[in-house]
Amino acid sequence: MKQLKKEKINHTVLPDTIAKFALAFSKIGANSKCCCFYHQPEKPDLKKLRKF
Amino acid sequence: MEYLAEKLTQYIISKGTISKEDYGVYKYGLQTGMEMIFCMAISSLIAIHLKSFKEFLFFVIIFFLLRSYFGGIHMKHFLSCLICSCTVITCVLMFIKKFVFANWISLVLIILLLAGSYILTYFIMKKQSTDKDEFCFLRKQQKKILIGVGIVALCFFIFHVSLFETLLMITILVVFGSLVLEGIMEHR
Repeated sequence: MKQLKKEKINHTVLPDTIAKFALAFSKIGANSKCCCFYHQPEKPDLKKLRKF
Repeated sequence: MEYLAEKLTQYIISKGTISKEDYGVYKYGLQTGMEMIFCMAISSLIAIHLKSFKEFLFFVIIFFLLRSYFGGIHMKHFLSCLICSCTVITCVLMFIKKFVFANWISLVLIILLLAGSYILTYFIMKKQSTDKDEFCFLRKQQKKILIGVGIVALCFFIFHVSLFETLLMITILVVFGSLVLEGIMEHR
């Protein structure tokens, strides 16, 4: 049972959490001019994440 | 950070969580998120060491609110960004410990700096050929932020909260300075 739970976390929960984290910041980046202190990584095409 | 973001994106693609077409979007999100959190963590430690965590929180909220929609200069590398942001935060927090301006001086400067930032951003965005939808959206958000920050400044003025009024003025000055530098870079 514990083994199964560990595998489930490794295979789904962790990648899902990382993806949600990344998507949240991409959405912020898509709907603002800048979302960092003083460095902006190269912005890909984020038009599909825009709210406007 | 970019290397780590690449590795993590490849990991989530290999697990089938996202498709290969979305690689750029997720890599950008991961890199931005990790850089922001790392910068915030280091800056928080500096603020805790200087015993000015409340002032730091206030500075960060106003700074990100303004910077998100007004923009400003960007460094080419994450390390220069980290050094710059830590320097700025340390200077601001140390300044506020020693100097507090009279309420009315801070209020006047806040109004002038906000107006200057609003006008300067117009010319910078025109020069950068921002697309029409994005331009209108950003201008709308900028107006909302100006009104919001103006109300906060007025409340500080009415209730004689000199320290935070001065801190607000310094924060807007930092953003304005960043915009001026961006304007100079764009003009070149």
